[in-house]
Amino acid sequence: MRTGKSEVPRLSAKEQLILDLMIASRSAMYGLELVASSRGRLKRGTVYVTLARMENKGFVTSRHEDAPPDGGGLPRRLYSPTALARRLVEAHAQLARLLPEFAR
Amino acid sequence: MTRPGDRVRRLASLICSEPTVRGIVDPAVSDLQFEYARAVRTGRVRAWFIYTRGVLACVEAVAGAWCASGSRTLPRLLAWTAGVATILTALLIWIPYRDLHAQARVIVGEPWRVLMSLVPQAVVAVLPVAMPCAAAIVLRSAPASAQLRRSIFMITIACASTTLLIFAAILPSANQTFRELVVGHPIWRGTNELTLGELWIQHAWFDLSVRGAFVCAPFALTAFVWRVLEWQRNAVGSALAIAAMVAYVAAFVAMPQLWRSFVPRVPIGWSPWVPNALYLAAAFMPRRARIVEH
Repeated sequence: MRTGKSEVPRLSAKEQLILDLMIASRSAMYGLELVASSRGRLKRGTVYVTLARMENKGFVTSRHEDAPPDGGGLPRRLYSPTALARRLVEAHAQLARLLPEFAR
Repeated sequence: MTRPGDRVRRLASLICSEPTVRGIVDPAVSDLQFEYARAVRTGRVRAWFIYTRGVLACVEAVAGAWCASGSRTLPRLLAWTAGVATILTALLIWIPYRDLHAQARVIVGEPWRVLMSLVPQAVVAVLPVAMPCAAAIVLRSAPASAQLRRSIFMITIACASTTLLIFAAILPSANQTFRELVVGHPIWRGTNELTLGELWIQHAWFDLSVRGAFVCAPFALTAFVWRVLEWQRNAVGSALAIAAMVAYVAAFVAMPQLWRSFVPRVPIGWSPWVPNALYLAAAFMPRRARIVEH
């Protein structure tokens, strides 16, 4: 039975920003890299929670860095967008082109 | 060797689930460690700055992870604690204020100062009971887990620390302000208006003991509530636990008088600890072995 609810995954502004940054960089990024390239729009304390949520939703995948960083410590986690997220970002961009009011 | 963020990670592993630590806290800590290792080469001041900023970010990530850890039990517990504490505090402020007002003793133009000076007194009386009451309401519908128990222990420590802080730093001056506003002129301080250090110097053991028992009460009461809900995880268990909180307050108030009547030779300074000891004993009472039928 159809519930009438939209089944299209939704992107919050923060999630959209993270995906935009990842797609623009064309390589996997780690949390601090995203914060630095967002120019203050992402906060260090909240970006990891958002990334974990996006991973649960299937928007990003993550993997550990191959070699441990200098000085030892935990290996960094690198995030990259999934095909679903790329399609979603593209759909949003198309919608924004068709409906300029939507993009504002 | 302890690396930057290791302590935050240990704290997180106490209060968050393993997947949450792996998904949220570990990336924050690994980024901090990487950034710190790079900053150390450029200079100590910069490294220190990176360290402080990174640890704060990790703490924020832990708080976010804690809230996002799937279960809504802890946010609900905090909200209920705040709600119960606010209602009881308002009640404890309003009753004496109304009486003063009826006697026309509140100086005209000062009612807000009188109300504000009553807040610390009310909060220290309410806080040790509010969290266990909230736990009795919220935990009946939450599955018990080691992680939940550790988180509740952390909240209990926060409640006890806040009570201690108010006793040590805020209550004496607030009490004195209240008395002077009511009387209308400066007066000598009584034992309730002395700081913990001053009570110690004056050997006011009973007053120190009352404050100590208040500070430790959240531990005894929360352990008791947890035990009651282990036994009856339903509305009956919640009602029993809340009734026990009311009985605790009554016992705490009546205990000095009972002590003087029944054990006059034992120093009265022990009396405030009796309710705590009874509730702790009930909380850690050995369980009766179940009879297994063959």
